[in-house]
Amino acid sequence: MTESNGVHELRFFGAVTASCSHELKNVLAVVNENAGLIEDLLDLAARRGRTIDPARLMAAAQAVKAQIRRGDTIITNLNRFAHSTDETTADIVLEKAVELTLGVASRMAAMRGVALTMAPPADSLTVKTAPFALQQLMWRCLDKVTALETSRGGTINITIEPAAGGACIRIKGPAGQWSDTFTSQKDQELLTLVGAEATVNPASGEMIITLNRSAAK
Amino acid sequence: MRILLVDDEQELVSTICERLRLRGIEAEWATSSKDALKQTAIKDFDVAVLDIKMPRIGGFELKKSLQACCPHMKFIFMTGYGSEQDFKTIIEEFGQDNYLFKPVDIEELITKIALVCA
Repeated sequence: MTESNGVHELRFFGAVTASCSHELKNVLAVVNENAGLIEDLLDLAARRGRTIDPARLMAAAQAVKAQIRRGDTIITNLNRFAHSTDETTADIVLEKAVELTLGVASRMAAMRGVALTMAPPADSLTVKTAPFALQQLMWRCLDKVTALETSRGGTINITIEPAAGGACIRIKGPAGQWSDTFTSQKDQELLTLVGAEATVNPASGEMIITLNRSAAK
Repeated sequence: MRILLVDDEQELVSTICERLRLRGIEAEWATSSKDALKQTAIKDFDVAVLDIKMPRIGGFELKKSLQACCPHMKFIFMTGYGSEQDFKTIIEEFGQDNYLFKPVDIEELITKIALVCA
């Protein structure tokens, strides 16, 4: 496979689906253990007359319900992510798109001991862009920032705000450690597709993606 | 026999631990490599059951640290989905019997524990 036939895109899609499916395995594993525990407690009660603690059964049932909610969020994100390939360009609500990236990238960040948080804009911001390319660009940004943050195990804050003629996404990472500043061919290609410009301020540890409201190619 | 279970999914590892205890097996749990190392500094464990993918320090790396402080300790690895390389590493270094796929079958886990201790 060569770069020209979409290897970066396939790798990105693979990384997201691998991460989500791994997380779903954990959801199923927790459900499995709680169901198994209920079975064990009922079995001990039936065979050995052991008293069942209703609070323990309730906690196990609640844990199962919590995992179902977690699994539903993962599947919903994965489905939305898959549909980001539907259209080459589209009008998208920026905070929803970034929220999706954070959803699918949270495990990648967590594996590096990093948490991701987002502050949405006061008013919803819509931009015309390439939805899948934006997901890929944001993932690459988070990959760069979380790789730097991993030694501290902190939190990456993402804010979205209006900018002249569009909107900007600010990703706040650690200060003073930047070496990768969007110079690769792939980064440049994605920025063009999305209709964005990227700047990095090593001193403040901030990465800024500025999207023109309708500049997507 | 005392078992140490290590996985960053607290609900998972604590419930497996509880189910082992219901079967009369002494078990403790930890949700990070750091916590696991702390526990092994104060207690002896015969077997450690380690998740391969954990934040910062994964199961393979943790195994090396645990082995350095507890040379007698045996290991079993748990994984959701691993890469081909993960499976190669497990089979080449630790053998076919030393890994489990999530969701874990509790009876299979107990059989593996008995096998690695035999």
